[in-house]
Amino acid sequence: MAQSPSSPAADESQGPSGAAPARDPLSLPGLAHKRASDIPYAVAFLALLVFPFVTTGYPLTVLTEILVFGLFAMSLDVILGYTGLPSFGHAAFFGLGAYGTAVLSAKLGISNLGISLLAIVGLTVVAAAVLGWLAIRTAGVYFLMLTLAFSQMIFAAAQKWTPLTGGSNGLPGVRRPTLFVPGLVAADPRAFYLLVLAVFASSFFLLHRLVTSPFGRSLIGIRENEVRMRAMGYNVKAYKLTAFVIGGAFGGIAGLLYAYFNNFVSPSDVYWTASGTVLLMVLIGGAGTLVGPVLGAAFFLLLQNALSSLTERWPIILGAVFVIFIMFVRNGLVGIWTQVSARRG
Amino acid sequence: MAEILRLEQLAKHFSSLQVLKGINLSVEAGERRAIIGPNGAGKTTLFNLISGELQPTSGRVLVEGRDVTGKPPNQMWAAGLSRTFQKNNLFFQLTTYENVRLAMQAHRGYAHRWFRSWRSLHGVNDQTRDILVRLELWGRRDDVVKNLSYGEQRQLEVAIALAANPKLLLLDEPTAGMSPAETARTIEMLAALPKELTVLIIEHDMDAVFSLADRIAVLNYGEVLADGTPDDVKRDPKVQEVYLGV
Repeated sequence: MAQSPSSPAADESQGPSGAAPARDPLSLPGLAHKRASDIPYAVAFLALLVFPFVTTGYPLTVLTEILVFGLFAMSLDVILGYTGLPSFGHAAFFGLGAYGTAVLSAKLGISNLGISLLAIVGLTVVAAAVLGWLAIRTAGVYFLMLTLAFSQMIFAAAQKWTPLTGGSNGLPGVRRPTLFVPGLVAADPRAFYLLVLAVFASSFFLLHRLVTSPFGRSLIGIRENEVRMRAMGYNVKAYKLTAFVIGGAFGGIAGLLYAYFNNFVSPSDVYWTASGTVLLMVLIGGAGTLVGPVLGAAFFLLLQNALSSLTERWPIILGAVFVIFIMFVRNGLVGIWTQVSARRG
Repeated sequence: MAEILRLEQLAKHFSSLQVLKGINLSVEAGERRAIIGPNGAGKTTLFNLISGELQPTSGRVLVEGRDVTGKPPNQMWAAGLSRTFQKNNLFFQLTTYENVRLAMQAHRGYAHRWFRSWRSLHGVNDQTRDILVRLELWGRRDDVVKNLSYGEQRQLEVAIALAANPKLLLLDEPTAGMSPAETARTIEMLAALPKELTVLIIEHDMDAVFSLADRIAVLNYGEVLADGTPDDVKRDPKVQEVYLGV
């Protein structure tokens, strides 16, 4: 192989490098049709930005909740959809974020967003690093059981550590956060919504960069063929652990927003059914697509809201819809979209 | 010429089964060395010991004089030793391009970058294209690998191995399962590999072996039966008896 050892910096130069063989227009495969344009994202963001000035009240509350759970589902997508790690305990990080925020606010009187963000990211990074270090040594159903067991430990702590967590009654009295500057409070629904949107949008931006980067591509490689990746020189464990920690930290941030949103946390936010719910959101929307899980969260919450206002037996109908989805709609809502747009050419 | 690979008394036992019984082998830089032998002779096990997939029971592996015995595959890959697998070991759900690009970004040390798009790594993308063009896979770059023909998948194995810019390339039956036409094309392609690259090749196709190899080692029941130039090996009465079936 006669390759000139070029310096790393040379690789990153923008535009065609002079000495390289003439780059034909097709030299980046898939560039033409796979480079998803950023325009839909910009349009969606603008719509979300304008929304609270068009309508408030109940629709805005629902949309706020969708963004919170959309972030939660995206964070699981990094672990499950991209890296292929079957985590069934993602509510642990959501719960740590929510309870951490609630304890800070209701017990210690600290509702500064900057402080709680730092605390929650620190807490969930440490928790995800410890759990991940153990869990990535296993695979498949053992990984699933370990993550489930860990989340049930967090649930037990929430349930039993009454002085700190309020026990099974939950912890009320979480106040809306003050922003980084003291005195500025995101108190009214519109201001709080805009805060949630800001956190959601910046998280989406960061995670989107992540999954289209060489690192994100490596995660997909690990999902597809871990043995081959190892044989190609990848330190697979380190990649898995990093992805797990990143997912855990963003899950914690979602929990933080949720505590502020609800002004209340309860053990059911950490229960294994919460892990199941976010798993469904990811699968319904389309795992490994990042935007899919957000759509999945929206679909789940809207359907739940609509059905529960119609009948008390809504969980049965909801369950049937999910069974149909998992069985017949392979890549979720995003899969439907790509198939339809492919058929239209 | 300098010695690039040296095996000293390399042995592997699976419980009581002695698959390899003390292999001694020396390979010069730039050499094309074929490893032949009947099924079960221990050829693939030998590759697995060299590339780090398996730990030897005893003995040593030296690459350029350095003891690398038992180093894991990722370290061997980084040290300039790459291999293909007897059974296709690919990313079947990803595109041809992405298969090679993943190997290339690892080799060039970009795999952990997390903020910039993979598209901005022009060096990685240019060299990925060069390899795909050379192995006649460029036309299939956007196709998902499971849709490639078997022969194309075998070629992709070689492409991935080459992406690491290795000094030493281990090819485990590169033409296995190929049609005669595909085999001929693959032999041609392998013959065109750069002269400075050292190639160890396990192969059953004798046309391929005798047209590619500078030297041939014959394995039988975990031992080196013969080791020499193709002509020496062909004339060796022991080899004729157990293998060439004359």
